[in-house]
Amino acid sequence: MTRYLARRLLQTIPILLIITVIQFMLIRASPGGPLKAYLENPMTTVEHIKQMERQLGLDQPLPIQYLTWMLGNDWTLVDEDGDGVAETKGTTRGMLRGDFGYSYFTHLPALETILGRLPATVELSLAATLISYLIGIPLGVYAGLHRGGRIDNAVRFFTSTLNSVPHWWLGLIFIILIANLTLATGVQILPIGGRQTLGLEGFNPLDRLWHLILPAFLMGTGGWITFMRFMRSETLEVLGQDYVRTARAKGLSARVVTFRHILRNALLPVVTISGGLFVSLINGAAIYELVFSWPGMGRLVLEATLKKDFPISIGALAIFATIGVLGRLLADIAYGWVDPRIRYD
Amino acid sequence: MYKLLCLLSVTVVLVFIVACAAPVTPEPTKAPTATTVAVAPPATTAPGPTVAPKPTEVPKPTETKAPPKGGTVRRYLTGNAISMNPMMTSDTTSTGLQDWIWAHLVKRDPVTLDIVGVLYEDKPTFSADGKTMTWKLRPGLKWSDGQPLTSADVEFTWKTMMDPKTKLRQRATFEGAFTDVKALDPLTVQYTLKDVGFCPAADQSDLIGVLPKHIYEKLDINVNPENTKPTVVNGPWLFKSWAADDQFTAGPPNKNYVLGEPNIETVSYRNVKDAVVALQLFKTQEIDIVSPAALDWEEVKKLPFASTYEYYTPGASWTYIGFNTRNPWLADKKVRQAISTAIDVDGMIKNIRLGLAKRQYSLISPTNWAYTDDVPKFPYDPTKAKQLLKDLGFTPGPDGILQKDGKPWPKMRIFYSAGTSEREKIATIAQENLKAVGIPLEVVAEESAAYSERRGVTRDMELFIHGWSPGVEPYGTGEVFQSFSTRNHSGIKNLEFDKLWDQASYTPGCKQADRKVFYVKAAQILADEQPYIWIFATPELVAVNKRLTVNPMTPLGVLYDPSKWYINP
Repeated sequence: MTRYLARRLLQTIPILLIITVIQFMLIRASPGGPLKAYLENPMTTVEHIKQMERQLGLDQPLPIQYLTWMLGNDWTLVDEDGDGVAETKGTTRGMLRGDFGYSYFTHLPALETILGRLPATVELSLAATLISYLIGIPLGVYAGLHRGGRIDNAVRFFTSTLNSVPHWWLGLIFIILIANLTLATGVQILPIGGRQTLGLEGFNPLDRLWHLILPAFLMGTGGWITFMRFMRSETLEVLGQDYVRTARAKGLSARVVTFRHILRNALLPVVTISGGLFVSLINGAAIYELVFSWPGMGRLVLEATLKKDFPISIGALAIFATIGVLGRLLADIAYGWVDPRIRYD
Repeated sequence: MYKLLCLLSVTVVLVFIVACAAPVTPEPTKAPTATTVAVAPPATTAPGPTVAPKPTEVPKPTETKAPPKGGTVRRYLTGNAISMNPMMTSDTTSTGLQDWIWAHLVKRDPVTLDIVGVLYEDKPTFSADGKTMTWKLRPGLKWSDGQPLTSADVEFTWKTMMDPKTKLRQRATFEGAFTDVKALDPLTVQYTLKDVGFCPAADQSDLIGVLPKHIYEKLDINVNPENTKPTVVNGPWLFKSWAADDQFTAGPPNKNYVLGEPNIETVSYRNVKDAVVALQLFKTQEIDIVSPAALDWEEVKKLPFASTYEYYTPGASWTYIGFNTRNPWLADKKVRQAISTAIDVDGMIKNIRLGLAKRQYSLISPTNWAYTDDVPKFPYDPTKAKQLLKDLGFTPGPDGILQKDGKPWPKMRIFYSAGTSEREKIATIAQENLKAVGIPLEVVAEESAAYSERRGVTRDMELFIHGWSPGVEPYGTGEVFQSFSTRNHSGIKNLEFDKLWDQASYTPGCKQADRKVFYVKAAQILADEQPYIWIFATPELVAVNKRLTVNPMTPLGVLYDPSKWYINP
């Protein structure tokens, strides 16, 4: 297992390097740039834009910009005042030394900005994952154990209908419904945006939980539907196995048969997709963060990409890629832990 | 379990029905209806200019009782602020937040619209040769930490702005107006004008406000903690907290604020996706002020707890379709006039804005002091448009597309910034209108930065849709039409217009009435040239929760001085 782990970790390095090159080139290949919006000011000339481009190093060839991003520029001179002469020592250390540069707009360190928003995204994604487990697994097992029953049919119908509409769109509908309900009754059942009540100082766990319910539920909808279906089909398959029949024949209670024999074996595929689920929730958080005004990393990346704030967008995408690669590695390891038949060399 | 599920389903359906029903207005013996105050007179076809609303005196309180102190005002943002340092930003989202904690040097008087001092006293004086403008700071000004605010702070702010190492976005604006700003004595600030006799100079003397020298002189202006958490300010409120893309809070009131300590205790902003979500927050009374879209205005007016205001400011924003006159098919002004005649602008106002807009015919907003209604107009008349084009030698080909000298009209593109639904509708209507007269048009939505580059640099376009927020001073608007301007997206060249616009900016004595003579002539020439089809000017639509008293209505609206607002007892 140790050798397997070391091998997989070593493999992540070239994978991440390739991902960052592709991301960097794709973002830079798109038309426009971070400074083109300043052309809206009638007093700004093309020369002003060129000066700012020199100050930010955007006039350099793309490979040089990529290398600067990776290795930094504190070992060379830069054109700090944009006059066309590189006469000042650079200050960035490069991504490999943990320095993702500075935002073109806020001038704040990119890594600090990204990591400052990461907890909100992780919080939302973890809550959505938890909801996926808490609803999807029991529902799937129950539906599998009562195949063809009213509950099974109702759940399958309901989840098919729910899966036919974008879940983020449901979020907008819920926001409008809650607002109208509040107007009609004077009672607000759930907040319609934000991570905490406006103006609230400090951390209030109940207030935070109240704000988390709706976005996490909707974000986890795809997850619990997937888990429900997997668990149902795995439960049906496991139910037909000899060892389950033997366990019943031995006189074990239904509870013991369900939890010790059926559930444990039916859970194997769920473990496999769990790592991917959390990663896909993190990556897909942007749209839910947008709808529910959740101040997470997804919104940050979206805005930075649209504004062409390269240090933020490329840095955040590199972090997303790292989370994705490591998430899948963890899922593989967990699979081997859950299923003793699987061994890694 | 099955019965439980059935009960749950029925409950959910009932909830949907209740939520979708019209809101029930509470029973009241004092049921105040939503108040709508429309200030500007409606656009008419009568000759003569549409005047801005008559300046109203700010009503004197009938009681001597001071307004109540305390409470929180809750608002929203749809964009993300960049910095709390006004030198580092030029976007309206950031300046909107900065205005709560930073005071301006000058402002517009809400009634007369003249430039008057805030930190500066009264009005400036000009040297006899017109080369310098001098302002005096009010005596006794202090920063929030008690340190005196002097002309040295203003001079420090200017020098920092002009330092090439400062990553200042708006340097060009101020470099175009002044060559130097210096402190003559602790209360006196002298601006050296780049161009002698430049009338809008007073308008631009605000710079970006003023920063505390004793705090910022020790810091790298581009990167320092004060840019996100300013500890010393001079505005109505102190800075409290700012979580980017989440919430902003200012408070408590600044006891040293020049115009007097505000009544409200704190102000909080929340970031939201768009005006639709903001409206829902207003309905649940989680925020106190909202500017809804035109489509939602009728619904908002019916809310029992809302006061509503609809007004046009002197700097009302306008939307237009621009022509790239460099294109040989659009180079002739008579062709552009014919195309203008083919576009149903009144239909756009009715169907897109639901009537909530004023027809615009020239570059100056209908409620601006320099406005004239006496400009060439091209009302919608597709039959006349076809005749005009026929007179110019364009005849329909076998496929209905116009042609001239055997050459068919090439397919043209109309660009707009993606994500702006209103402009998408304008483009679609324009496409249909021009198809009816035989001109093929393709609608192209483009990402914002790429669209800016296309309009400002490559100019690879035929028609384009955009908007403009002119401000009370018309000077900046005309610059984009002057022949030498690098921001002349349409490529229009009219030397008479250039001359008249400069004369309006350098009128001896700078009296509005004298300047207006030149602005009127310039507007008439440009309207005849039709580099743009000016479509409409849009009003401010503002709804305020009745628990909050805002400013009395003036030409600047009702939100111009938050330090005077208060929460009703």
